Amino acid sequence: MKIITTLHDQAQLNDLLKVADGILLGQKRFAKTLTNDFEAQTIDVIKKIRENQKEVYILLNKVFTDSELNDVKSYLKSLPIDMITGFIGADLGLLETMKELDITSKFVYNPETLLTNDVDFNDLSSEHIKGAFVSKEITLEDIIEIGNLKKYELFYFGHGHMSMFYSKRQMLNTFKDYQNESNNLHEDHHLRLSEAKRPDESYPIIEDDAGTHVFRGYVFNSFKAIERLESVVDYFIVDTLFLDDDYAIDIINMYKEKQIDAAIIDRYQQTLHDGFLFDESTIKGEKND
Amino acid sequence: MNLQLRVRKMTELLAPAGDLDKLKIAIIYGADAVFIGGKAFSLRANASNFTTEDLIEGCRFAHERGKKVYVTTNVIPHQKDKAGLIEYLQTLETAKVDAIIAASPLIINTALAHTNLEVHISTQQSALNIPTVNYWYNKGATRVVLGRDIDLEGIGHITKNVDAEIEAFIHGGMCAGYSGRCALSNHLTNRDANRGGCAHTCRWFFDLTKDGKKITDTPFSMGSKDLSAVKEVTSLIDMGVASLKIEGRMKSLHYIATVVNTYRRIIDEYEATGEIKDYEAYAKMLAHAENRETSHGFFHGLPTKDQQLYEKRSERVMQNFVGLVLDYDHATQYATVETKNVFLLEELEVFSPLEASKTFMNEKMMDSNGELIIRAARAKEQIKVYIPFEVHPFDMLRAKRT
Repeated sequence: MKIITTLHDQAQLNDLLKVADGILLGQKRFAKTLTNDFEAQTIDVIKKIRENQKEVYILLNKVFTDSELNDVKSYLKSLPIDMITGFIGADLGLLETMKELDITSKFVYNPETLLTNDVDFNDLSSEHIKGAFVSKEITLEDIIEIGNLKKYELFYFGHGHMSMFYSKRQMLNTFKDYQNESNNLHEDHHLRLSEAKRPDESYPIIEDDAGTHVFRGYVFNSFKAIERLESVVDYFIVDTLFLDDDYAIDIINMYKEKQIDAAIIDRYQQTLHDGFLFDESTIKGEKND
Repeated sequence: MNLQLRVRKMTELLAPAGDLDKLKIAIIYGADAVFIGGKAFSLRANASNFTTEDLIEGCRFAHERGKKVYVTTNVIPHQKDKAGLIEYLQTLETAKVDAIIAASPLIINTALAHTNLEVHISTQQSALNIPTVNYWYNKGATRVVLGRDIDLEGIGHITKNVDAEIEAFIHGGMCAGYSGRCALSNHLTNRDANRGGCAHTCRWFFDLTKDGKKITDTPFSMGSKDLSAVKEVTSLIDMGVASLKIEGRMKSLHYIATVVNTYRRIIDEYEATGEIKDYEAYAKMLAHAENRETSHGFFHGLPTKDQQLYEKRSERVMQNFVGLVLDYDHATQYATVETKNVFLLEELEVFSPLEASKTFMNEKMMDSNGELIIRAARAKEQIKVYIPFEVHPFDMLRAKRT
């Protein structure tokens, strides 16, 4: 199982590459909720990662219109494609773009919520893509079962603030407009939503060029499941949005040692949750026995 | 108006139906097709769903009138949800269902492999570009329901450049985020939005904070106004959209009748004359239904504050639908009416699918024992109401209620 992660600071790249097997990068025109867009430096970052024999993944995780897909194609052509291990996309329309550029074998499909059973997970197997992300909202047992039936590589969101909501609407902008105020909240990573009946957890919200995104306030973790997950997961993602590169290094080391260090978690003042790994969602909200 | 634009297949008006009565009302009030949820594999688990017998009767009723029935099988199944799928799909086929609406390749592939059911791709797949539509068409789907996060130009561009039929929403509730990609309900309530448990968490109120401090007293919400395409329907017809979809399997009989009939009249006027003379009249028709506030959604670009819902919860409980006509005796001029809400000896309106609404003063009504009454006090009773003009089964009585 390989562990790949996000990058905040180019200066931290060398240290990060000592523990991570790969790095997720992107450009904000084509990706949502990036930890950083290195813009003109992106190709240098890619080269550095490859010099260290590590893998590079480009995030294309927006939902696209037709004109945006045309722009994606131009963007991909500007990249050193041979140096890139994979392109992670949320939109099935990207498959066509990948085919046109003859890089279908580098496509990783990530619709976040949708791949909840083995048939759905494997649906693109005839397209010979690189892999797909299993849904974040299913149990460990389902993930293992899907993994045992996988027809390509299984990517898994393993640690970080889980995305719960993605809208094309610019909801902080419209909210400020409703209050007759100018919008100073775009790309602000310090905002949270609090709900009266759920006082223990508040939910990060970001508005970026892709739209509005809401996350779990608690940090998802897979420590209790890592030994079983290793048998089926090919790529384990440590997402450090709202966190930093030092955190990534600490966390990745813990997963490699399969040992949670409570002192480090305490230092970051985090509450960890394990999502739906051991607690399946239901229809009417009742808890499973 | 260029009549050459209109040489094309007639646009279908597609209505929701939570149960058999609503299916019949939707068709009688002008739907060309209805979509319903069966007892399995459907979102809207809390809606009234159809038994197999209801399904057979519903398809028979629809087909006798040249209309169609689609069944939503639009859940995103987990591993253990696969059981019984083939049998269920074959039951739908035996009942003569015209198509399923599905989002999961498990269900889509199974239907294509084991039945002759037509497959429509659900909005839960958020198809918003040509290659995505073509992906599903090439898989074997005949129609794709577009996501609602797209403007008119984008809908037109897709419609003109694909072979698949395109279906677009024109009225009703909208997801605040990309449909199918939202897990707010899952995480905040443990209810799986993709298997029928959506708690509409996007409509809740939240405090917006920065670094732990509330930055405004105004509550934040992600909820949006409902969609209403009264003024956009003609554009959708012109661009060749195959089906215009009204959302709302949870909605009432009266809501379905009112909304369906309004859009039926818009479509018919436009198809007959090439123009709409008075949009305001149709807006007034729609206002009889218990709507939330509406807007044009994404049709004219990225939504502004005018398309969002803040602070107010605008669902209006109307109680203006007071009776359903069951039959009419021409000799006595008494209609048998099933009561829906309380009403008195007062002015009533007859809302009919094919005729203009008419009002009358309700001067005489009798209970089931033939006793004169001045107040129809309970719902679901059959009473007699004197109506001085002909009415028909399924006509609706409305009272003025604010």
